[in-house]
Amino acid sequence: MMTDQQAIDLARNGHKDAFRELYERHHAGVYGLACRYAHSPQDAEDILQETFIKAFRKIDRFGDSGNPNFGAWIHKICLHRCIEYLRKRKRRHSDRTASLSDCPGDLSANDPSPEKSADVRILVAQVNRAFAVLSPRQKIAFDLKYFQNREIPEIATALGCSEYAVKTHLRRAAEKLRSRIAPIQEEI
Amino acid sequence: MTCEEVKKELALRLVGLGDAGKDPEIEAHAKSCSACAARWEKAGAAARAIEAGCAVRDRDVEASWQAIAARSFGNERREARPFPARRWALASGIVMIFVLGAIAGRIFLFGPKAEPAPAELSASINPESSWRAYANRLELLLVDIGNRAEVERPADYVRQEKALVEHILSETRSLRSAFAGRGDDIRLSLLNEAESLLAKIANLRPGDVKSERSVAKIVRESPLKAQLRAIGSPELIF
Repeated sequence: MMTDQQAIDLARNGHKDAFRELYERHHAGVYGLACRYAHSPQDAEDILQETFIKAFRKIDRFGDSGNPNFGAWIHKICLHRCIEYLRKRKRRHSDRTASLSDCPGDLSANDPSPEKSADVRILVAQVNRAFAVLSPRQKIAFDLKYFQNREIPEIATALGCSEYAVKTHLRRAAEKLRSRIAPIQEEI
Repeated sequence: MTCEEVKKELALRLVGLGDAGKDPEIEAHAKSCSACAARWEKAGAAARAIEAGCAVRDRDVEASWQAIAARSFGNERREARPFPARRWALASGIVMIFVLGAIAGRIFLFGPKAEPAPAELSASINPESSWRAYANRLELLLVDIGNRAEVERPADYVRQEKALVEHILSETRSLRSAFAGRGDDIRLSLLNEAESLLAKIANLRPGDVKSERSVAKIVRESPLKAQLRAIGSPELIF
């Protein structure tokens, strides 16, 4: 069984099987990351494909920044794709706030009562509305820190910015969310 | 812990800012408050729903790989993104503005100044003061034409002479307009004769030696030079 580095060396020499091997190993992680920020499975699939295409095109530059971990490298590419996706989406939907349709469809499995399902759906919409005010970088930094429990240096590396910048993103995101907590509180 | 505090803590938890260390307090409060127990349950359901929204769905891994491979290793190079129509329009608009600006600049700033019409010139010139210079130039030209040797002249010389003839012809017409209003019949007659001679000279075709000789003879025999001297006493410079 070849290692990532061996696969990368072969990929650099144009071996398609090596690319396939890298894809097989990392697609699930990349897709999982894309799903966190994409608004639909199709969008997540697009992010995944763009991530791998970009990574394969830039395979010669892998390791230039001193990071020999392919998984971390491709996750970083994926995060940048996600930021770009969120930016485009924010521009396109600037006049539209998060709505009930942004809430995951099937709540009945958790809450058998339709009334309870509706209540939960409204509550989730309020939470989404609060997150909608964050910038793409703030949103991703906040998610990595508070929902995926990543450390600040790790987030800084992933986002390609300084630790100070990450702390600033987190502080501003927290301020924005705290200022929009009242509607959620009312809904609970 | 009060109900309000529980509500606030649950709301903060939903956006990721809650404190998990407060679980025992909330639990203790929920035991004695059915409303907060329901709230806790609702917040938990919402958190699960949000997490479900981020969950990974089933996907066609093979189709995804085929799409990536086609775009990454396709035989044909990826087609260049077409230049959007709006950018084309903008670019061509800018180019048009530059081209029109350059043309306008050339015409209005650096272009040759249009010769004023004879009537306009006659209104702007003082006939008496112009006459002397005009008579001088005309006589010089007539002497030159009359004495023209039958030798081949350089192309530059021919071109300059032609330009001079046309200039003096135009001057003749302007002066004639100017003197016409004054009733100076002698000068008008002179100017008419000068115009006739100059027109003949101007119409000469380059290389037509026979016509040149004929015109030179007419010029030599013309009394115009003597009349110019008699009327204007021009200061001859040769």
